[in-house]
Amino acid sequence: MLKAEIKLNAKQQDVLKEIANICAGNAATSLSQLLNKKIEMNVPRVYFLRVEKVPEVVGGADTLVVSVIFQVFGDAPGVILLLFPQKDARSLAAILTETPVDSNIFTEMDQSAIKEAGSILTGAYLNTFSGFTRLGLIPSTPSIVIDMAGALVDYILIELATVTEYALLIDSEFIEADRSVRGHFFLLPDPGSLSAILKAIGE
Amino acid sequence: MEVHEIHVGMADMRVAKSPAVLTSLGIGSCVAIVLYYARLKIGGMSHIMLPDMEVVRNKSNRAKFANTAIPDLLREMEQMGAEKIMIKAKIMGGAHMFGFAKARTVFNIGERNVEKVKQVLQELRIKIIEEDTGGCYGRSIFFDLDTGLVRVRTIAHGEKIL
Repeated sequence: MLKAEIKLNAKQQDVLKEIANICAGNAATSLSQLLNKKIEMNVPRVYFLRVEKVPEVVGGADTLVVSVIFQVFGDAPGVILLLFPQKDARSLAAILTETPVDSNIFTEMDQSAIKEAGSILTGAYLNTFSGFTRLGLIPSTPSIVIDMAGALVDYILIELATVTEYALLIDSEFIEADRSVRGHFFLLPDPGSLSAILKAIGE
Repeated sequence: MEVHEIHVGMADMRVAKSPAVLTSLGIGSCVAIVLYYARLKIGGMSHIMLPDMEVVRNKSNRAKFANTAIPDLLREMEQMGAEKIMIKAKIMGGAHMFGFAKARTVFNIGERNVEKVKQVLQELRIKIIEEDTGGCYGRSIFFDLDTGLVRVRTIAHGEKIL
């Protein structure tokens, strides 16, 4: 039997935000090396909210998004979700494949390139996170899904909802100014992982 | 004429009377259940996440589970004057969104949600007259209480009226 619901206080949120900031910074650096373009990163936001509210935070339930999803295995399992608005994903693919933006269709090549960018971000993010927390974390291979944001997250949330009412969501936004690509990088630890993370950071 | 639109979020339920449109956006593995009582144009919509309240630790929100949300929805409609025997149901959603299923997940939650919804409706003796479930894509639904018709919108799998 699991213990009672874990709550997250303001100080813990700050610590998580600080770690996320460094993780996201390293992730941005890696991506900027891949693209040979400057990638900026906003200060991450830490959400600890009711599971039902998550679709709003990820941009609205029926917003069309291009998403790269990773499962995270190891000492603190969870899910990583990268979300791009369609036109931003289109521009990102254009940068990666060095082809002009001329349609809304994502070819195999485009999808593969977007997945690759996702893998770079995720790898760098998790490496840094592991370094801080000394938790071993390994990402799965990426899946790419092009659909409504709500439909993407409900599958993940359903799993959370069986054990907890709240979801921890760490949101980092990165921006490529040249072609104005904006994307969101979400880390959603499983409920059990939250206590592992808090313990690891000495809170 | 702009009809009053009522949004039903995840793990939420609403009952209303025509003129109104009940909507639920971005349904993946969740299931939306609509009940309609044509004579008084009373309709209800429920957006459930999980099959059974009994198997989870957290029991706060009855609208989250098929086995509690559907009876609650029916009761609310009856309180507004709907007669159970004439109420018809339509169900949408229950997709399987990703290729991967987590090892400890009792896999395909979408399918299990749909099964449970059907079981609960059968126990309540409410007939399902339309169904659009399964697949691997999201749905947004718009339930017009004037006509009782449900418009199901998807990104890449067209639009249909049920």
